[in-house]
Amino acid sequence: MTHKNISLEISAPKIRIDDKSSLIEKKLVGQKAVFAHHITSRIDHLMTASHTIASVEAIENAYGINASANVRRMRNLLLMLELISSHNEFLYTKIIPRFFGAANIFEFAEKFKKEYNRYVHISKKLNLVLSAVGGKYPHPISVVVGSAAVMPDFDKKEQLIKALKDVRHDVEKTNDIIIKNMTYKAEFDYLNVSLTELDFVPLIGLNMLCNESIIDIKKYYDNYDYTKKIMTGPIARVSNNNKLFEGSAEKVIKKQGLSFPIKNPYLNILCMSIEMLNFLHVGIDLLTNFSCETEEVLKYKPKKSVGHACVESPKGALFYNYHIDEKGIITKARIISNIAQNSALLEESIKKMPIDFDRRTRRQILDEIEFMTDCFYL
Amino acid sequence: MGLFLEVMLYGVLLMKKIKVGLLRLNGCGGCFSKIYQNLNISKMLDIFEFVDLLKMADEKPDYVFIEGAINTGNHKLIDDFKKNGSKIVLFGSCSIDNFKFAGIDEHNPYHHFDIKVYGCPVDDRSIYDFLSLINQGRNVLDITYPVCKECAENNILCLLLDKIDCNGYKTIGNCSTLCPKIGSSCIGCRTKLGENDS
Repeated sequence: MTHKNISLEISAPKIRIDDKSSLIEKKLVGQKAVFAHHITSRIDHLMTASHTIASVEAIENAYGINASANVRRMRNLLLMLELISSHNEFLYTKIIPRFFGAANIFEFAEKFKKEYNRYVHISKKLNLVLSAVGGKYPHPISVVVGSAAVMPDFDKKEQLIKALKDVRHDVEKTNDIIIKNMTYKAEFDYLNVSLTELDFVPLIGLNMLCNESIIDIKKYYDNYDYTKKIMTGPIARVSNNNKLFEGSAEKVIKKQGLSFPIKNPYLNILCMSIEMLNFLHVGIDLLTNFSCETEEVLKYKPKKSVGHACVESPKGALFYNYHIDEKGIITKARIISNIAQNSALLEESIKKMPIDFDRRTRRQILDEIEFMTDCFYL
Repeated sequence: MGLFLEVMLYGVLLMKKIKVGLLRLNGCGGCFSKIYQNLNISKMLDIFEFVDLLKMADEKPDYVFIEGAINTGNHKLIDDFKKNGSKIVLFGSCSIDNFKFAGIDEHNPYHHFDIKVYGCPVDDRSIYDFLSLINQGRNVLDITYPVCKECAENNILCLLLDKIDCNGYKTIGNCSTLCPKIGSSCIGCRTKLGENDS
């Protein structure tokens, strides 16, 4: 079975998951560090801003550069917008068609025009704002080492805020569809892992919350155990930060009576739609108070150094580690995405799925496994 | 857009859908994502039938759109589609030259393609232009000029004059100069001019 970035070989009881995107690490060796994000932004179209920002932040960490508060706000805004856009894309191309009985996005677009147009409306509006903040989207170009190459045009700020407000109703309707259809139950023992802060839901940071312990991200990933069953992504962010979610997201969390930590991986889908509500609310606020002033480009010299960074991409915590030589060339790169982190739990979840081999066809069984894989946001 | 509507009406009159197989190889998924977001233009789904070839490998589509870098191991699969009469479309930069803009030389080009559609990702305008082209049976999207042409047309000051490294002079144009417009140099993501012609 082939599924986007992974290929699954199933021969009971063994499952193998290949993470093809980790091949990029080898391609980065020998590249100029400041150019690397142009390559890594092309690993996954749902995480282009996340990879870009993580790459740039890792270099800044290596060189000891502190981007200004406004630049960091711009990066946070970009991550929030990408999160909403990517969750929208994933839900409407992979999950919601299934709920409506459509085999794929094409059948869904043909038979369920109203719901399909909702997806397109959210996509187009988010693309408009992402392009303004990122300079270009996907593969944003506004994020550069030490600065921002471009800021959103001040004269268009109101238009961008309106674009985000325009999708509020559609995002709420999306959430309604997910709530109505999320009847899947499962329970596993795993750790929810995400970045953590005291009073806001962080998307860039240096502290990882894992099983109620806060660990520095470098220490966490240096000692990382790939056999551990962990979940990173929407379910972990909602589990770990549920008291910090705002607006409609806060109301949905209360109304659904979710208990924390969440132990049902299928609920990753519900957490995606909750995050869409939350980050739309927070994003509108951030954009409203955002300064569009051009930023000074900080001067720096390449030096032999090691740097790391972690961002919360739509699919989960994304860790970057670079070793750079005196000429600013990458000599070693390490990228840990959600696939690597969630694979142990995914394997267990598939192996323990209650599949009725006598009553199900091969196609039906593969569909169920594919749905479980989709819940892991691969 | 007028030509596009004519093409759409012509397609509707024919009453036979053009079958397009989407073959996703080693790419980020951004190019096909643009197709998913444009299924409601005009009568797109009245004219085209899209199938996911990773799930339905036995299909014999009229066109096979390939997204993502092609390695040697994929050539046979693509050859099989070609033998069955499918026209091969390299859809987006990765399938055309596999990250070459980054100086990564793991290029295993597929030479027997029929059409190239440039972009990283392929943008909405290119999708509209391309769909009208395939209905006319034209083989190659006719872009033979560099990014520089559009910079000049839009009064964008040449970055090379400011001694900023820019690959626009050797990169396929028709991209609306998104990067030079904001002072960012062209990295060449739309592939090199003059390479990989069939």
